[in-house]
Amino acid sequence: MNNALITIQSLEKEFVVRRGFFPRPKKIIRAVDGIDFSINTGETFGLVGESGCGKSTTGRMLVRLMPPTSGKIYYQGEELTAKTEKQMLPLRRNLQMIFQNPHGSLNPRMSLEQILEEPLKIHRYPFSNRAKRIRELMDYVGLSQTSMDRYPAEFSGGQRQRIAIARALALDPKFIVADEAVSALDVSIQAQILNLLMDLQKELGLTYLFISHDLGVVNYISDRIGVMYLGKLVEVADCNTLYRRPLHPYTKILLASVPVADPNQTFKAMAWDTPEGDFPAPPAGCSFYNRCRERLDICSRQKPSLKEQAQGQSVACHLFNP
Amino acid sequence: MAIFIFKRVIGIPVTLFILSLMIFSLVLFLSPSERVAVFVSSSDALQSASLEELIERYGLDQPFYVQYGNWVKELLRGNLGWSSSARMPISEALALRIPATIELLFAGQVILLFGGIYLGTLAAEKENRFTDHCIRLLTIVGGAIPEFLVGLFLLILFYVTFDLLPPGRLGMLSTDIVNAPAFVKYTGLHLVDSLLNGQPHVFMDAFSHLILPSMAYSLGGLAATVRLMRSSLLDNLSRGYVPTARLKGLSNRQVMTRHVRRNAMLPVITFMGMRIPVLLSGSVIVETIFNFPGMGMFIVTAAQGLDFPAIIAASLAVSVIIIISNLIVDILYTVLNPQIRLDISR
Amino acid sequence: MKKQAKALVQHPTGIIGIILVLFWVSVAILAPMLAPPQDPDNAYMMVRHGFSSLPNPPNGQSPWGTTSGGYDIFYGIIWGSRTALVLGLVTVLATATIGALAGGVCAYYGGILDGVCMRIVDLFMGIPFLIAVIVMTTVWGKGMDKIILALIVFGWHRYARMMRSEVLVVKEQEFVLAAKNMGASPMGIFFRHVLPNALSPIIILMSINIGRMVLVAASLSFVGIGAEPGFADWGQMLNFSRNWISGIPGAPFYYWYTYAYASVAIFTFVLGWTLLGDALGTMYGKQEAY
Repeated sequence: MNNALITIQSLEKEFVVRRGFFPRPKKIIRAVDGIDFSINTGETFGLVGESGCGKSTTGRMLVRLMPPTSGKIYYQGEELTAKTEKQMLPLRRNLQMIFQNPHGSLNPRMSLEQILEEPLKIHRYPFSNRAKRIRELMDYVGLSQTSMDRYPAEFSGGQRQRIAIARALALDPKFIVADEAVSALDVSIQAQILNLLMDLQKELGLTYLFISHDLGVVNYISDRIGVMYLGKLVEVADCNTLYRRPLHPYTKILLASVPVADPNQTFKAMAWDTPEGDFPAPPAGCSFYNRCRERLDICSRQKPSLKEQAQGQSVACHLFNP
Repeated sequence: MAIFIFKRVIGIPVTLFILSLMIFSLVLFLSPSERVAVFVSSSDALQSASLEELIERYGLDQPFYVQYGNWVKELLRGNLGWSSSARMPISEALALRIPATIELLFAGQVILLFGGIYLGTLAAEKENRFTDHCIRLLTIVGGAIPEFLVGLFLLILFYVTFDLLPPGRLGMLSTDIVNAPAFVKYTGLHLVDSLLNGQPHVFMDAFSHLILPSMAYSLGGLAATVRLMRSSLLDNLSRGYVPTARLKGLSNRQVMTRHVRRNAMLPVITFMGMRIPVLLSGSVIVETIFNFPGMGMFIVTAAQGLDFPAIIAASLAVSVIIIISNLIVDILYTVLNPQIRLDISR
Repeated sequence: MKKQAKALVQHPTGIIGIILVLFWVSVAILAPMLAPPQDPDNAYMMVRHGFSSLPNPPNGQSPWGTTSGGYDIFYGIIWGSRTALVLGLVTVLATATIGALAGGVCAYYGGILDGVCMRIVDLFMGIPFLIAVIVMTTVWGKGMDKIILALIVFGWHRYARMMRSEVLVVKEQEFVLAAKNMGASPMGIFFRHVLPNALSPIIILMSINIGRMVLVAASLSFVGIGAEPGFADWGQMLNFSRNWISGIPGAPFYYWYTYAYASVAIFTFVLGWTLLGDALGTMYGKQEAY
């Protein structure tokens, strides 16, 4: 674990909804409910879970777009959570992010050149080298033939995502959070972008946190995978291990719902016992209790904690931690 | 519901305090000699004492908050100062003028509400047919013509050309009746007083004098309420509760009047509340055009005569009118909106 | 840009709006040629033909007649367009700048600042615009500059309100997060990313408000508390005509020229900007821009 680039410790994020002028009962949503993991240099850590499970919030906290409610984040041993905005600035170039929606992540009123120049401007990249750097970035993402004074609206979704990647690369980052980076794209384009990300990783020695609800995509790109459910990390494992031997009941259901591209294999989706929706977990017990088909008595009373079961595989479930 | 209204009512003093501070701060733009006029209660008082004495007496060389305190004290005693343009104490002038403006405001709101409901319903029922297009054209034109052009046009058409509906607030005959000692002025509103005094002719006369000015200054708002009502009706008609109500056995007409129209009216009511300041602004114009002696005309003559105390008192009076009419609109909204009604009774 | 201009021209009401606006703008620019002033230092004062208190019908000397007081109607209409345009542009630019910045900054930073800002805007929403402007001009004194100042003081809050709701939407967009992630300063994000993307409804409101501001100023002059007497101003010309509306017995439209030209001028000027704003609104997909 000593080559960990990013380490997070008992990270929590609470959102308060319905805040008014007068004090009234507040409703607190725990989007991220105490998670720990670390990401090693050069690897791709995949984070999966259904929408609203807190995976995007985690990603945003990692690059300090959102302050955590509690918990710590370390980057190369430096505690990010203790830094002021000013102290963060030189570090920001190392921590970049690619967003989900290629239509929303590029300012529609800025030309391609302005978009790519902006990070260079902010970090005072030497003026004389900027044009060269922008060309270089365009080469990286395979848009070398494109005119620089076009606007985002004139590009396709895939091209825009390439621009967003180029922008994230502009400052030579070490670590990139890709938040649902391919979810809004067509399947054929998804593969192109995923391959591009993997090539760039090899070429530039990047470390990724890859967030997606699509286990198929995460499996394709990741070295290790963390599965999140209602703000908690329920299972962390190597990609292959997770696929071959999922332990947590939730992981099993997720895996079973991935369609397999084999015409001879019949698709056996595991039906949910209960429909997807807003499940109040029993306050004392496991957050998955209400939807779990293998639940035990203890599950309603005690929260399971994440424990290592086998080499590189941890799970938070009472089935394995008697 | 009572709690809801109570909540609204307790907010009023705060609003009034802020507004009165803002209005009184206008005094700071005036020279001390002009300021004196804000405090004295009659023209005699102005002549009997020297300027220095008056400045001394009203503390006009004192800090702002002291002056404000004095002003409020006088205000609560009912002394608003002397209006040089109306040549009477301002409190008396306001007692005459405010009811006129309220009558006009009420008439304007009635046109907005019922005109909006009727024309809006018509347009929605005949969606995209000839009637709908005609109403739409009317609303576009009506929304773009300024009040004083509408006013002038109506005056030329009805008074100059057809010699109907004259300007003013009352005809000569009715004025004599109203000013006679036998006529008890309960409210100052001619429409109400005439009925209470058993004078239907005066009522009709006052009513006919209200038609043109209220039409002139509510036309712009009417265009908006018609459009609002139409789109809100069409929106409500496409909701799930309409087939439900039909399946329950209600007739089309019953569904329309009991459910759809009632729900669709809510945005119109909200709009009416927002429209109050606009209508009061408009009253400046229409009262001038139609020679209708209300607050608008009072403000104009005061402004022309640089009658500062009258201007300041009138601003305060207008604020009070707005606050109270907003409260009435809020109550109306609560009565019509089952959501609030139920929420609060729980 | 070209595409947008084309869409605007193809919009049926848009084209009428553009024609009216262009017409009045060119009249305002060409005013010294269309109606040469007698005293170039004082061009905004209407040319007078005598001091007769009776209006004079159109004749060789004054093509559109004169109002009471001998003011030349043609001259007044031509130079009045300058008054209207200058007043409209100045007030709208000032109110839009103040309002957009206030509303934008409050919404962007949020919190208590936003709460206070919105209380103030709500308070201003409840103030009758015309009455407030009358009160201010009475206290400050007569003159176009005072009117413009009063219009600005009581006109900015609409922009603030609109800008606020736009910024609340734009600031949640991912490109704002992306800029923050790059390390851009809050000010930099506001001016480079948030403001430019929240401006289109403001531009629509500006177009509509040029007409509206001119209308309020004209209303002021119409009731006789606006511009100084003799200043080329459409509202004032209508004010001059008020005594002549009923004509003479048997000929109700005897003095038609005293009000007809000024009414048409005000109506078309306001309509032009309103239609233009309306068309811009449909173009940007904001039907209820105001």
